[in-house]
Amino acid sequence: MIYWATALSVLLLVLSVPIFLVFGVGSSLVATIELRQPFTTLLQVSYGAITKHVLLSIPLFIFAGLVMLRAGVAGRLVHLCITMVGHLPGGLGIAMVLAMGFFAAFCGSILAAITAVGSILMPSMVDKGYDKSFVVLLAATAGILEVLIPPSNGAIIFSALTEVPVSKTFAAGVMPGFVFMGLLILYVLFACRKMPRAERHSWSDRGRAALAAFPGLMTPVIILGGIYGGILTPSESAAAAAVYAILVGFFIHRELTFRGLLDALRSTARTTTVIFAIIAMATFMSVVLTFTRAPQSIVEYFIVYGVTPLTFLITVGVICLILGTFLEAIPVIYLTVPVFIGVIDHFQIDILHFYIVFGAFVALGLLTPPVCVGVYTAAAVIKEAPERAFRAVPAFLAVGLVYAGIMIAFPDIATWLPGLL
Amino acid sequence: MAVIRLLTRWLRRLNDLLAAAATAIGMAVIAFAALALFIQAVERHVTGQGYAWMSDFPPYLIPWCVFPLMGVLLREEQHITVEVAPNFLTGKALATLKLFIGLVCLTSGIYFCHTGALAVEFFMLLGEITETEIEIPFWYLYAAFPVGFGVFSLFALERVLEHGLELIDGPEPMEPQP
Repeated sequence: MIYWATALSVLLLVLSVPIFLVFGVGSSLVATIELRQPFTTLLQVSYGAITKHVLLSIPLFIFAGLVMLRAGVAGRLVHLCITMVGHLPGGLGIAMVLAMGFFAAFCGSILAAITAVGSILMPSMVDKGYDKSFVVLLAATAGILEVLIPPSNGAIIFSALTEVPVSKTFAAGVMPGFVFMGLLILYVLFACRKMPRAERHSWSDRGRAALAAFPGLMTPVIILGGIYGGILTPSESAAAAAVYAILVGFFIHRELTFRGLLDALRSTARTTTVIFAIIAMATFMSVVLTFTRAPQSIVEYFIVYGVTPLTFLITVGVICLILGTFLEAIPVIYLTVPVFIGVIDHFQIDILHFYIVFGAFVALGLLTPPVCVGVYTAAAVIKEAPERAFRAVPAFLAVGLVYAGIMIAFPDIATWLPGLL
Repeated sequence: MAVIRLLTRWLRRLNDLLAAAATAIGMAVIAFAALALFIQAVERHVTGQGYAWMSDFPPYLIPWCVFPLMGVLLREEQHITVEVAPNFLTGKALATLKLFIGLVCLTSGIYFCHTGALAVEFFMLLGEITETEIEIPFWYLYAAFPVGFGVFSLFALERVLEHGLELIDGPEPMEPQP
């Protein structure tokens, strides 16, 4: 029965049936027919997963980001970054990396970040002679920073699955986020070394740009200050960020309209549904995994074959890259983390180190075609055919693999900051 | 055939209303969650005490945002899928695949609606209530599942009928823009 259900799930997946249904149909068939579990158990487990308080921060961070997008925060951030680094070789590219990093610090959506920052910077980069495929891939790759820099949806979901406090997973992503930003900036400097440079902005220009961007720059302070100051829970800090974004949009920048606010609410409700429908149905699978003892079998397999922690982490990377080629990040997390978690305990790998290595490869999987929604979104911003943009994938994938290698080799990058808390 | 066309038109209108209602409920849930958590946090720090229900309720409302909206996203093709087969198909073959996907969605929608309703009936009989400041029966929360999949089935049926008609008549002509 399990093999039939797996075959059915793969078939439905290939035929483009929505992933949440594929998870739900296959797992519920096995759970109710083979394992003779009542559907009430599945429903209880599913509800237990989607009503976790910490998961509520996902829609609220997405909402905060979408309001910020409509409140004109992105434009001011981009302008600040351009005044700071626009004179360097590949200055606009570096500005994009920095702006994406800032935007990631208060937005819960990769696509919102790519649209917000990309729609301002990408057309002017193309006008200045940057290669279109380079621009598309840079935006899509820099969008990955959202996975690393808190508040990150991936961190929240990982915490919900593993019971690791969100404050720890958030903190674990900070240093790797900076490392990834640094690597991307180095690559931009190298790739654009022969491009003409823009004029350096004066310090008064920079001061004015910083002042204009100041309300937006305060958002991460509210979010992370609230959490690490022990003042707010992650969901409360997300709610505070959303209310702050509304206040900034209406009363400081005065660019947010009531229609824009409703639009942000509508988009948030839809994105929430896409994410939570997968979570609700993927938890059916956790019932199957528990009753079939699949994670324990995998641990035994690793023991029998004498797999080392390093080999295990590399195996995780390869699996995530392959899965990420065909699936989005959230299904990959729900498919693999419940299985890997037992193995991590066996190898005594720090769970935050695992999270960062795992996150690196899942994020890299988002760059590999055919399923690379970030690349498609960025390509749509400058109306470039995604197939042409794919030319630049190998170079950015190489940067990502260097980053993933560093994360495997130096666990302290992930564990140092959470250790201080 | 005329009956099917009429049925499709009526179903589309019904689904338009359901889509508007589900979207409004989803938006209200998100807005309530943001405001309730913010007010609760401010109140806790200002007065030293907060209403626990303002923190407890928002997560319980999330299923009422998620499940009813699943059908709307099916209509707009916004659910995450693996776009493998559609990349290799065109014309009637693609329409047949979409009809098949619609049928899978319809069948599983009816299955989950039915089994969900039975589970909700069971929870009603159990009479369990939440451990929140304001107590509510658990089945109120679980009811979002069969209701959501009921709505989802209606949207799936709309897809099945539309793609079925498309296979018989060819693609629907574009409506002239005003």
